Amino acid sequence: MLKWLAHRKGAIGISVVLLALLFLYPKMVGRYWSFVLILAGCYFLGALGYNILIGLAGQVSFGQAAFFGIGAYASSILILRLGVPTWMAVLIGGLLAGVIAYPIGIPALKISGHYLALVTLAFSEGIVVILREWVSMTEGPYGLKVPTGTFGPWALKGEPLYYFVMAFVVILAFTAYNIDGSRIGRAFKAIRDGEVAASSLGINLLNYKTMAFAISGFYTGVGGALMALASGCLMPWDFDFRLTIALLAMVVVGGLRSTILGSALGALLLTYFPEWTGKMLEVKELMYGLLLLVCFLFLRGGIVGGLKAVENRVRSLKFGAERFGK
Amino acid sequence: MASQSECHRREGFGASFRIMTWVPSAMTILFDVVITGIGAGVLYGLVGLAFVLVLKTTNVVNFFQGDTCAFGAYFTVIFVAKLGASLPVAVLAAILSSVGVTILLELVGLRPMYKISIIQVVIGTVALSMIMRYLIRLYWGPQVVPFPDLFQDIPLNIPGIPLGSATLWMMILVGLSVSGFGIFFRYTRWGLALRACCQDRQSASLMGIHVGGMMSLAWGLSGAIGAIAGIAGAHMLSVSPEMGIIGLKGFVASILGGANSIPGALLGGLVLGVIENLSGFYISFAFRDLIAFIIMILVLLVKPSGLLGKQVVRKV
Repeated sequence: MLKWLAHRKGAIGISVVLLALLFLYPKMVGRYWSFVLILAGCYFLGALGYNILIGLAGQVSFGQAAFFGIGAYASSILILRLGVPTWMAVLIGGLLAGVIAYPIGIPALKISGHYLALVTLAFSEGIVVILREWVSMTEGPYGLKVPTGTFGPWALKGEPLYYFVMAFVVILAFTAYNIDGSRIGRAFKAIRDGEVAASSLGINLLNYKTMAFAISGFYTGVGGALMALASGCLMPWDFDFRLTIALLAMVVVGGLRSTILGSALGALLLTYFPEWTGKMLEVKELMYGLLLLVCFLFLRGGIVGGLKAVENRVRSLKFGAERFGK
Repeated sequence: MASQSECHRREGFGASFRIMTWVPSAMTILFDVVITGIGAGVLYGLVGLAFVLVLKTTNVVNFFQGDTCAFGAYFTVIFVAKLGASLPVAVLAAILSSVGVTILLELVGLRPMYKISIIQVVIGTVALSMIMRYLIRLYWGPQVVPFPDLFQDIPLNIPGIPLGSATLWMMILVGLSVSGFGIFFRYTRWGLALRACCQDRQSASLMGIHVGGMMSLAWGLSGAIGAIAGIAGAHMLSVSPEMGIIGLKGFVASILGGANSIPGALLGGLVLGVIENLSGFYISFAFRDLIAFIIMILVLLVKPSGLLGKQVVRKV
């Protein structure tokens, strides 16, 4: 145990510092900026789910917004109509998104690449239509008002909401870290790098692809459920293709191959940047489009990839200096 | 209550009506619904054709195909309203501009990514579509733009066919342009080279065909087709920055017809238009769009090669 701890001194130190920062953040800044971090946290979970699917398992999906929407609507309806405890509603919302995402892995066996992108896009647009038209359940275009959640004695708004969301973010990020390093994560990477090779090594493509979709759906669904709590009102078209693009931009800007760090950096950057510049929502779409293109053209690994390249460069320089003197 | 002239018109068409208050029978409604569906389907087919063209030559699903329709319509409006050009000149100039813009976008934004991964190119087309929609909104605002009626002076009506003059003219235009493209593919040197690229890029380049140029040609043609669809179908699509949505229907059309077959895309468009209209009328108007997507998912699952497409054999 001690050895295990000593081995991970650096990582543990960094996590402790980060956790402390997360804890102190709302005390240091005002209500507004802690709300922005809540949004960033929700988007982070969405982007994390997306990154597990597209970066880790290599499955292209354009339907991520639908999972976000399913999580948001399901949890809100559970709280509103059935009085389910908030934390449980969030989890059930995520699970429902995961369950609905699960069968999408089945067509992923037969079709891949841009056809899969099309199918998932169609799925996502279909979900928006259902959310819009099923008025008796979702209030459709009139908007679903989400009640303030409760957790024990606290009403979830302001600081309690912040800690509630961050608890989910930290736990799920830690879980994702473990998935990344586990047998499942390695299987995902093998499928990404070569399906045929992976299946010839005994990886059951059906199991792992459906699992990738389910895990991704769960993460994104939880993100959506938390977002519903934070925003207080849901509209069907909040969850259309534009949200998918926003999440995709976060993933690509942060780094496709770096599941947790990349998603976190991308979500933070893309949530904070428009707030800092104080520009209206309109510019966001242009920003996402331009960022996607620029990243693909010039910075393929996203921010994390760029940092890694710099690190490698520095290392090789150092190595050269040691070895050959100068 | 149907007017008397309506009754006479119907009678002239061969149906027998004894009473003056004419109640449309189930069959006539069905006929009307199918015909209107074909009207919309023609447009879907045209957009689907542009998809197939790009997909075959460059292997890319072009997500801003729908926005090329917006290019066509908006350029026409700009040329007419801002530069005071006459309508035919404006339409021609708009088609050419759309071609130019599409070629430029592909060359600058997408071409450098081909070698890396096709998925990145596809996401790149999505990004371009977002950027274009934003620019249109920035320049012209989000509202629906009134589009000049191209054939106001020559109204066209076929008795018994419930399609407006604009839709009939649209069908004629689509028919003309499709046959024009057909002739281009079949009988010209460039068309031959393009077909060679569609079949096998590597051997085509070994035969001395400039593959890069042919890719640009294919993208340019897709821009032209999109612009024609946008201009001819402007009355149906309502000219707004979000007009690119038609692109999705074009996808479904091309997949339904077989993603690698050009006649298939047209057939797929017609079938899609009819099915969509039928389901919109008999099931629920709100879920019309859902039907298109369900069709697409089913086709991809059950028969990925579509109606007329060839089975693609995947090799390891």
